[in-house]
Amino acid sequence: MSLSINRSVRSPSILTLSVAGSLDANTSSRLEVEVKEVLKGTTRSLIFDFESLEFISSAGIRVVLMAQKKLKLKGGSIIVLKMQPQIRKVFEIIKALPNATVFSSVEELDDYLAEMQNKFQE
Amino acid sequence: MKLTDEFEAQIENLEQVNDFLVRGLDKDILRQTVLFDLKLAIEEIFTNIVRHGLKKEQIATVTIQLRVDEESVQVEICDTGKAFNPLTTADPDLDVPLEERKLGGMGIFLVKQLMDHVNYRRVENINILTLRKNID
Repeated sequence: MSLSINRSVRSPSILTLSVAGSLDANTSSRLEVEVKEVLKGTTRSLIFDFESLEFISSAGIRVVLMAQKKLKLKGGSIIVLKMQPQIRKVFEIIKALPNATVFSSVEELDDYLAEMQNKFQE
Repeated sequence: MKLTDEFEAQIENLEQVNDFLVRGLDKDILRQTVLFDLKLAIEEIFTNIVRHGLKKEQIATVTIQLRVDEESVQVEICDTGKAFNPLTTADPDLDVPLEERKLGGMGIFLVKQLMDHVNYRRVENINILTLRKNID
């Protein structure tokens, strides 16, 4: 199973990486390269859309955690969108995802981002 | 049902290992979660052998045997690398905030959590790791 990564910019500070297929020891370095590239820019909220992600191993989790670490240093955060149950289970075993940053639908995510925007403007 | 295959211990061969797993495990009978957990466990053990079990320039062979019966899937992973028991790897400290956590040890921890039984033994110059996943 291969990996495909799609990048889409929502705003100067918000970017989505849609990750589909398998994030394993063979493929995760490609996501790592992509994340490092993204983090050179102005992105503060990096959204991982995992709707079409079918497999993840520790190699893939490492990349997600690396993104979280690096973004936190810049005052940002990752957001995870639409995880399949098996993927969620793996993250839960290692207590890797604080609930606040996981959304199961685009609507929930939009609400959250709108709220963040409002807070920022206040 | 019993199926065995051999792989040279190189990370590029992970795809062949996965193909072997798909051949050996009947998707129509086994639940998706069982397949997922086994795929993950075998990848973690295989990559562990490649990364930590070999001396420089050493070529090692990994032999994987699958046995499936009505109650469980049993996997035996043998390698000819140096003596190494991955189960002695320290578990990650899950109470440490994510940002401060070390990233090592996660793979083996996942294997221990996802499998119903994990065992390591060294017989002569071979590492033998056995996994069992119950089919419920």
